[in-house]
Amino acid sequence: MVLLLTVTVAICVLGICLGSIYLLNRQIDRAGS
Amino acid sequence: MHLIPHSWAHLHMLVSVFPSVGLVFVLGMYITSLRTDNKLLKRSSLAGLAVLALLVIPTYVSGSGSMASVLANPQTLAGMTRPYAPSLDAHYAWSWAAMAALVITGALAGYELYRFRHIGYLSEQMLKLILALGILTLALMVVVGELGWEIMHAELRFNPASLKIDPGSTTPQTWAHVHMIVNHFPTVGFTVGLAFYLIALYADNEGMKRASLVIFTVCSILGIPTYVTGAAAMWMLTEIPGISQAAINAHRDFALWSLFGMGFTGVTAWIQLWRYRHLGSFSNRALYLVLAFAVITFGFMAETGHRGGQINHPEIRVDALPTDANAYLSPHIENLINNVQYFVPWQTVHFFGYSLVFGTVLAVTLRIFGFWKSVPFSAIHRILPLGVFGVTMNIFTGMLMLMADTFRYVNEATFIPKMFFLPIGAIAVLYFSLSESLWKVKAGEEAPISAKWVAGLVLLSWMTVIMGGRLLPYV
Repeated sequence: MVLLLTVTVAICVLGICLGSIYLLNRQIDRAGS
Repeated sequence: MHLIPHSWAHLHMLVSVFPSVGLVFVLGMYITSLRTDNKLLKRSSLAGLAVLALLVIPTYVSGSGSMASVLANPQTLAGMTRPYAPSLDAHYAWSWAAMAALVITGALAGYELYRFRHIGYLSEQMLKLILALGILTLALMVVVGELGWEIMHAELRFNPASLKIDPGSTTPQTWAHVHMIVNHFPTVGFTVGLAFYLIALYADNEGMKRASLVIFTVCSILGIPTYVTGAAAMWMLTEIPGISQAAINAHRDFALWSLFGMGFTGVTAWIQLWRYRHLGSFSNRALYLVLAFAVITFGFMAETGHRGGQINHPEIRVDALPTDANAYLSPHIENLINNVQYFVPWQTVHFFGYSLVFGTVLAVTLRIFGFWKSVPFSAIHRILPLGVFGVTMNIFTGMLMLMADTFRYVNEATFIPKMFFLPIGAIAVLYFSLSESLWKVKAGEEAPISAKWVAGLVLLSWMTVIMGGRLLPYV
């Protein structure tokens, strides 16, 4: 149970974090191109 | 609506924080306007100083009314031994000087605005004089505020030995003292920030929008020490007769909502500041999202402040205090997170968080120190969101971990430097996001010396935060 919860929480939090950063940077890349 | 004051003491508590803590933010805006030569921000800050001066009237009237009622009805002190009289007299005497200084500052600010309507420009010398008077007023307000807090807050003065409190079941007085001071900054800061932000949105003034977003970000960062010192102060307060654990839990629940609200407001505000650097414009939709978060968070903070005031101020209570300490969310979260099954996942995310923070801090500070000179600072600026997301992750996971065993954490020796340097490190990162001179550092160029000092402070702060956390169980 600890393993399942840890993997799920880590993937969700890091996914939201990296996804947001990708979207923010895409905006800047598009404006620059 | 229980936020509407029912007594002079209640009105005094609500209104008196604006001429003191509000002055910090209005002066901050004023200094920003002078440095950036933003004319609308200058006029808005002068108007802010004039409004604060007007607030002297309700502050004085409510203060006199509450002093008379407290002295006439010692039973309102709920049977506690509170040597309030010396603080009360000193608070009253010093407040005359502070109020006079604020009235003069506000009157000059109002006069300058009146003159502006007729001649169309602001006098540089008058602006400098108002700044000097504002700083003097702030110094006087610090003394008045401190003496005012000591009147009813016995926990700032009492000797644990006199109450026969077991030192093993209480926390140092410093926590309660710091909580008393910092808890006013997010609430009053959001009020001032919202006022300036609404003017900026209405007038479409970019500089003023940026300054207001900075206020939201800084206040959100200050939410961390506010929550942590509050959690630590609880252990001392419950040792004082007449303090209700149920009232504290009611306050803590809303403090939790406020912390979440500040997290959302601070991150969305900072993202706009970061984005502005690269694109030279804001996203209108995102600016209104920040406004919505700030308004909702302000509502949470108002309720949190009201519930917090009920804990230690019998003189303002209208309704009976809650009695069931288990009727709130915070004790249930504490029980849940104490279980290793729920603790470990958040601890794991906490480790990911500080890896992101330290990685980002190291890359940014090393470039400023002179490493990788072929990389322009604008490229390094792109990775700042990684660090900000790391900080955000760690605020929430750290807060959950703290709730697992608050008493043990706040009494550990290394927890104090960790909490001292956390807001310093987070606020100093704003310098990297905003600094004009740093943004202009191109490939092959050396960063300014001032940036190197800030980089050193940021590196030291985050090293202390991480080491302080790791050493918690061992020192």
